[in-house]
Amino acid sequence: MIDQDSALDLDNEADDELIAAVTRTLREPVAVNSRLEFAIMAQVRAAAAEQAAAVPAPRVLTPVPGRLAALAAWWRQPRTLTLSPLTGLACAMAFGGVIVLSAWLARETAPTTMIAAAPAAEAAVRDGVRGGTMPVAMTASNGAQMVRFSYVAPADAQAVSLVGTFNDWDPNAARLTPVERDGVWTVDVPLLGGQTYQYVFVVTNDAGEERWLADPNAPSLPADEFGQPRSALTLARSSS
Amino acid sequence: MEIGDEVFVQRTLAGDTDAYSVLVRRYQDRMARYATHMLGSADDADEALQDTFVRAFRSLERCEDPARFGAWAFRILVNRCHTAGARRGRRDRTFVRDPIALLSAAEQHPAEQQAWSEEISLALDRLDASQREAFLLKHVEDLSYEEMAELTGMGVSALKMRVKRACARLRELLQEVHQ
Repeated sequence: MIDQDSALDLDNEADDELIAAVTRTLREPVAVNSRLEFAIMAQVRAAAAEQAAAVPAPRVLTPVPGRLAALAAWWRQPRTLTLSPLTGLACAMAFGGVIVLSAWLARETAPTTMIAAAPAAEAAVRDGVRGGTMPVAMTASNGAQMVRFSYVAPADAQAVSLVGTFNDWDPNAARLTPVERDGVWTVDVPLLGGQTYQYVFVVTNDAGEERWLADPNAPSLPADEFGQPRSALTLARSSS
Repeated sequence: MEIGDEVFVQRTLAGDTDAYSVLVRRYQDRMARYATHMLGSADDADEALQDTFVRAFRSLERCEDPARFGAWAFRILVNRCHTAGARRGRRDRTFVRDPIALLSAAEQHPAEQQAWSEEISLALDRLDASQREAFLLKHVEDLSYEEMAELTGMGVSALKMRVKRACARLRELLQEVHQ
């Protein structure tokens, strides 16, 4: 008679045999595309050429001959200007007037279709929200809205992409670009109003590792089968 | 004695692009096997491998231990499969049988073995992706739980649980076929 523990041991032995059989099969080599190495090396050579082209050529200074050299020297030579206080004041007022006029012209010629600026996104950045973002409707035409996604990426981020239901989760479809403000990356994506989208940011660090990160300022959806997060964005239907 | 990876990494960094092809040949089979089982499609695996090797080339200066180039590149592949798998899973959760891969398998194995391989592929695809990843890394790639934790960023306990659940599910799915 076999006691219960022995029966369990026998079951485990059978189970282990099955897992071992599965493992043996899976360890067999798979057929590799015979052109794989060729395809990889073609891309590698293209990348190498791209990297070589990106290295700036050493700057070569050439002498300026004859009269040109004299002219160049005249422009480089420091001068002392003498101004009366009244002239100096007039120059300062003229300079200030140009700046005010430029600002007024810029305001007058700005797109009038802008329906919201980016105060919320900028506030999030100002408040130090790491990984924060805020979609911003910029323009509206034919039901499509240009939405700006902002993201505060870690310092070691080499690339940031936006993937979602609107671009088939393709990391190459919408790449964010770093803006002046430290760590802030943005991308503008045209989206139809009246719909709900799922999205995440794919951040690649300098070790080539990718991380899928949800938008901490947007509603979260249940994680996918890898345990990866997702955010939701619902766009109001455009009124135009 | 085989020349170490670090030699080819250094040659590549010095501008000898052909040296990189040695590294590609050295690791493409193992990496293709993992990507094929993980993604369930030879085409997706092919794309993942190309992307991995090109990405590794671009980041080669940041490979901290060139003697372990293979492990470093494999880490990039695991991440790449993560992205590709998540994308595929979201786009289309239906398992796509790869006719070329199946044909190739049929040429190499007797019918019975091929049927068993197909059953395993189907069973793998029915696993939760994170369990499939853990099972392949543990049982097929023969990594320790510590190495798996480093690769995936998951804790050892969570990985053990995933492997355990993967084994249980595979037993459930394959028990009848195996007998």
